[in-house]
Amino acid sequence: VDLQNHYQGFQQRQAEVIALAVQDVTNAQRMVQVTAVPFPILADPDHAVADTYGVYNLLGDGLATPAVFIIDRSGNIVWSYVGQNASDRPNSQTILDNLSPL
Amino acid sequence: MAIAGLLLLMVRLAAPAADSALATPAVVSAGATPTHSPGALPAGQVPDEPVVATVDGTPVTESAWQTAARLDAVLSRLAAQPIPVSQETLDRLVDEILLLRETGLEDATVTPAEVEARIASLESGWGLADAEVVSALEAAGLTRQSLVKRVARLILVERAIEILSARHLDLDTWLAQARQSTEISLYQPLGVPPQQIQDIPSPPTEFSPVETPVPPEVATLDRNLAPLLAVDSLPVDETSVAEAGNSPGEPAPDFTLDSAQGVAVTLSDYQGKSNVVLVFYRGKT
Repeated sequence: VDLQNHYQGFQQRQAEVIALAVQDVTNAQRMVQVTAVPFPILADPDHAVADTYGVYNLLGDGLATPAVFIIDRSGNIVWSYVGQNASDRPNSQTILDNLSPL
Repeated sequence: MAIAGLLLLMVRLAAPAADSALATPAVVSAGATPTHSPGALPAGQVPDEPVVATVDGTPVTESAWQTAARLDAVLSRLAAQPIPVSQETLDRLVDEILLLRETGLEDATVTPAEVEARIASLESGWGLADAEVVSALEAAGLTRQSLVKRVARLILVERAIEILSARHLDLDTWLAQARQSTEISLYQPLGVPPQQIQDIPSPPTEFSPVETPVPPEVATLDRNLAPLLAVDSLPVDETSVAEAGNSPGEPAPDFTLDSAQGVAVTLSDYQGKSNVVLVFYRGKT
């Protein structure tokens, strides 16, 4: 997901981007160092949160399935996309379009 | 193609990827354990695995070729570049051996820092996080280590090309001559024996592979490799979103996790303040 390039668009829609990965903090730090992403990358090493959101191991490979959830100010999920395979992600424009009504 | 492919590989891969390509990064539908890079064996030593070519006795093993071909496919997709057919990859592996032998760089090393810097620069050019690149590699049955080895070798090849350029040699001409004066053997059959294809684990999820276009002259070769190079390039179908645990309208489960940036983040802290786009990366095992 080219989230970085569209980060401004997310900010304009008053949306904070939070990324999660099933990995330890050290690996997450490496990601941040390498990419200098402007949003937090959270470490979910025991995939507890990925489990809660029902996206862990759907592909049977011990990793999270690529997925995006839009959560509104009331804390409700208003849109979600769970990938069908390892490369199936919504593009940033699709996410932005679904943020617009909020 | 020969030298152009070699020279242009890093340049091409460094090109910014188009937005549309990013939505569906590369997936090659096979998993196999990558092994050492081609040319890693001393000349003359007979590897105990199938060899697809030798260059004056330096073998290119089948697994090294497959790994390289899959890496080519993944990286080309990430860079939104055409995917080379596997014959082109083999050509390039042979060219690389020729170049490294000529310049005495066969056993030269590249520092990990140099490799990481190059990978970081490639990823930055693609606008992708390392984890996303790792995900694409893993989906192709590769590891980050395969990329590290490949990039290290490409850096050596770049050095070799610089050395030859400093000798005022025309690289294409030199390469053509080197190929003529070197004993290069291509073994038949080039591809993976059918039973080995069946041994390769199938992809973890359902999608329709789209075969890489194959020129007629390498059809035999690529028919064998096609399952390894099948690329998922289907557009995202929004109507087929999987029904996972949470669906629109439901409260988002709260959590607190440590961020790589050093602070704990709690989802409910955003409540009443801003919308949240929660993105799950694949992660790594």
